[in-house]
Amino acid sequence: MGSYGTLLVLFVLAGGIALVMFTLTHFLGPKAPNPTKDMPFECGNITKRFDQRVSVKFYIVALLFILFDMETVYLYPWAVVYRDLGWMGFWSMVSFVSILVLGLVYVWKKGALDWE
Amino acid sequence: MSITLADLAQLLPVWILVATGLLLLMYEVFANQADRSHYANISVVGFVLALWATYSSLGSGTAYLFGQGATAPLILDGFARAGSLLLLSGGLIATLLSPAYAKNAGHDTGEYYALIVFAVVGMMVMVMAGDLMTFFLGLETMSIAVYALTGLRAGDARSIEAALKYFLMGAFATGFLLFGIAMVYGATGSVALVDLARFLSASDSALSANPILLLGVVLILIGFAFKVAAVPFHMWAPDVYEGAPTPVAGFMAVGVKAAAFLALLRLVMVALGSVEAAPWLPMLRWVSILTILGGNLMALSQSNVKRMLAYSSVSHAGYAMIGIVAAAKGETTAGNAVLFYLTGYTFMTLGAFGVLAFLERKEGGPESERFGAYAGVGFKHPAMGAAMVLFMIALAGMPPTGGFFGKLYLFSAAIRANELPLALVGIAGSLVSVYYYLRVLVHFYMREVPEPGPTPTATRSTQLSLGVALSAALILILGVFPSQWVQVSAKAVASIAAATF
Amino acid sequence: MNLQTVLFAVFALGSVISALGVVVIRNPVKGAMSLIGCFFSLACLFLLEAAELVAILEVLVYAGAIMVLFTFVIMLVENKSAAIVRNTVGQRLALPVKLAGVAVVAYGLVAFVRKMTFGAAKELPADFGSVAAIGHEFFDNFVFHFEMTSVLLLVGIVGAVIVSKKRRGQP
Repeated sequence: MGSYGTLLVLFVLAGGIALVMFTLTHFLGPKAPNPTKDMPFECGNITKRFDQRVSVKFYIVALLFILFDMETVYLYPWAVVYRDLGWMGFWSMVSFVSILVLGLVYVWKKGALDWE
Repeated sequence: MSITLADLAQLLPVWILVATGLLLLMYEVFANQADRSHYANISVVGFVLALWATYSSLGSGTAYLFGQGATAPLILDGFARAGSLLLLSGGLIATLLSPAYAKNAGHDTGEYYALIVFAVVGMMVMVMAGDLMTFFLGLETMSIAVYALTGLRAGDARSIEAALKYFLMGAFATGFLLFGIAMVYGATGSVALVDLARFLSASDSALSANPILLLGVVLILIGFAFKVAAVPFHMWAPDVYEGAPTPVAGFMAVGVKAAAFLALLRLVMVALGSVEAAPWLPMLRWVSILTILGGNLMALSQSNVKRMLAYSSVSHAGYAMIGIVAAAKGETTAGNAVLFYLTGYTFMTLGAFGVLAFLERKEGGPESERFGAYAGVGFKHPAMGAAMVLFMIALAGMPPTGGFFGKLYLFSAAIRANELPLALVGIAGSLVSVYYYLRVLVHFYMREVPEPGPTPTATRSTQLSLGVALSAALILILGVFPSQWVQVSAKAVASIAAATF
Repeated sequence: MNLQTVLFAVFALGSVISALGVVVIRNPVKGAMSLIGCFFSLACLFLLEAAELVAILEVLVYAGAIMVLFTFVIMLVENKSAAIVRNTVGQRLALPVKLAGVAVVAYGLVAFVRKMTFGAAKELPADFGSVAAIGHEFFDNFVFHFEMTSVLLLVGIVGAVIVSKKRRGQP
């Protein structure tokens, strides 16, 4: 618990500074909203209305992103204790990652990552 | 803890299957796609090798893998091996039934077969699981593979709907199960089944002092009930069986159910059975009664053959639940009865779905699955017709088939466990079921062939015929020479009891 | 009242309020921000319970990965076109009933937990919940579970691709 005290101070400071800045701009900055300004920009996509359907491409990229992100969940504690684990730990991770690499190869060759 | 090569060698069947699945995926993306008939062959070779590896290890003793003693995550005992044998044969026959159908439906891809293989990996892990987390991982691997398989029928809205329904209901069930596992862990401090058993048998007040443990167990049982489509958690089954590709529907009906029941049997025999007059006994008993009655009554009114088979599989879950109740009361023959019953159920249901896959037309549609659409096909395709007669007789529980002995063992185990009402409900249900099973045969043989009627044009395929023939042969062997498999399964179930403490 | 209790109160309130914000706020971007606030408060609550790795994963996976997807969706759709649907009289009347239902369930849960007798608390090891401790658990005692997870993830990947991809003979 004690070691997180510093972390907490950091968060409070960072959050406080952000809060102060936002409040200041809110009260001091000039505001002249217009529709063009409200549009999302530079995201490479034409926006759609709420009642339109979004292409399934989006969901597949999102799903694959989450699935591969799960790898980091395991890599992180593994990296922390890597030296204590010895070769056993090394080979466990090798087999884990190689199965997922085959998954990546499959996804890649299948063209599931191509946007068009 | 160290893992030896000898430990890893024990898991050979699982490695073979994982390698087969990976090979199929790589073959799908790298090899020339012109000839798609190799996928099924690769898959069949994998299953046969895994079957051989399991069969040759059938006599060896109990092995605890990746852990110490009975708390190990994987317990490879006789029960796990016999169960794997059953699940592998289910996967093999489902694969044999697939190629011709999959070609027609446009999903004859490497992934299709790979997902079946991975689903069987999950099932085998479920049956070997010595702790609830391992069980959960196996269950999820199996479930996700089957959700994807359900939605594969190209351009058929029923298939998409089925996949979505199955996924949502399954996710719910998973939620219940995981919540229950978390509560059991919170109450006992361990996920291992033996630790749960020790905790329950340590004192008489273990349950009453721990409402959270009771709640956890009940949630786990509800999760199981969802997975085996027991009433009142069966609502998804008919739509899903109707929408899924026919061989997948057969695979789902037998594989998912058998794996869940075998895992439930282990849970009950190792841990839950040690509680006298446990509060979940009445719950299981009522689920069993409702499932038998509900499944049979709803099957009566179906006009679609696939939906009828779906409700019939619901009612069969009810019969198997009778055995679970008897096992929970400590009846030693009940486990054996459940394993034998599931074996018979696997082959007769897969066979019936195989015949339907054979008769299904390319353009498909709900009209072609009505009873009337099968008028006279028994004469047009004598071999398939004869096989269907056998499967329907077996499903109704009549001799000389494995279905008869399965029910006989279950009901006598129930009577020995002082559950006479359950046995009577089971017998009544079987009598009702004769009506709708014979109705199929009436349409097969006693209705005029319409000229030039919509008689299904069959999809001929060597593999499919082989799959149906294999199912028919096995169901007959189980009916004529039941003692062989009874001995194996009795030994298998005894190995759980021996390994408990 | 020690520091721990004060912090718990702060983050518990923070998580409840920001969770309510997700439901109540109509602007999707602000709702997403509120959700991040909720995840963050939860992570801090986990830290207070000495669940170090869980707290980190909460930020890494939920606030990191899942929120990226949320903002991605928000980016894809226009901000202003959502017509506000007026509540019908029935819905307005149903609101107190729903709130009462929530209150009853909440009361029942609290009563249930209060009734329970918990065994004596076990003395936890000093590094309980730390990343290193969980890493050791993972690779010493749960190595099979870990390997099985890779198969599970692979099945998920294949399933996601096959269900969503275009099939032969389909436009």
